[in-house]
Amino acid sequence: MTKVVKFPLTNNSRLGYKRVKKRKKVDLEDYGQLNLFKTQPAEAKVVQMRSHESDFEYALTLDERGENDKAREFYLKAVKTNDSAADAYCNLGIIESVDHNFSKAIDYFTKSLKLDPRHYEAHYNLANVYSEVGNRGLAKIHYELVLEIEPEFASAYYNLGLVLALENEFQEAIRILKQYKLLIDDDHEQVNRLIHSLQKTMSSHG
Amino acid sequence: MESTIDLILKGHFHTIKEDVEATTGRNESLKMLCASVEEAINYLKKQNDKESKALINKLSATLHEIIPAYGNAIEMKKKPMKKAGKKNVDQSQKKAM
Repeated sequence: MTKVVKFPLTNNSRLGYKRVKKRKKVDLEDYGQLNLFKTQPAEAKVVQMRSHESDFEYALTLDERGENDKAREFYLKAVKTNDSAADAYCNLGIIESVDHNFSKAIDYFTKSLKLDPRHYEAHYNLANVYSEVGNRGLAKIHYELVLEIEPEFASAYYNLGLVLALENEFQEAIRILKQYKLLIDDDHEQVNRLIHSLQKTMSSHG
Repeated sequence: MESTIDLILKGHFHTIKEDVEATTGRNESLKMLCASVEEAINYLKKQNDKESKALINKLSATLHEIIPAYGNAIEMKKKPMKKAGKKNVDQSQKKAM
């Protein structure tokens, strides 16, 4: 009689996909290799380089980046070392006016003008602050001074035009705004609209 | 510094809507006011009596006074401050190293 031998069944669960098991970490030193990366490297630190910049230039860089507190610090350093002091005072004034510290801003702009009475940026920014606080008379004088010093500085024409319009000096405002238009390549549409409004206002006044 | 000056311009009722292009709440309020007043004037016109005519005149006169201060303000931005010592060198003009 023959004997039936049962074929050994393999466990089905062993077939199919094979999960990857966590491998045992190899110690490189067991293979005669020095392991140089055992300790975690320290976090990388970005170091700002300012090897060729003066205090004023560095302050300007910080200012452009919007780091006002640091910019303020370096502008003041620039003033102390007489490194573009008039420019530094002027830019300090801008920082203060952004923070609505208008009296402080005026103080800085005038300090800039004390060092350089023909500093047209300081005159222009001072005019902007005067206009902001409602002293249009002084704003007008300083814008006009800017145009005496720097007749091609377009923004001064524009802002002077606005001040004149607010003072109801429409004809003069239109004349100034037309001069502004001659100096710029874009923005014509907005200026035209403004001039048109002023002309309409003038005609409605009779 | 981004600051604004409101220029108050006197004008006529129908030209105001064309002029004011600001996207502020003021513009919305102005539109609402204009619509309401227009409705009121149209209603009064239908009445066609002395009292209505007087009211229409009153409304028009009041509008003429109020609108310039209320809504006919062209929102204008001053040109910003100018930083001193800024190098005006165009990046495209810089020579490549």
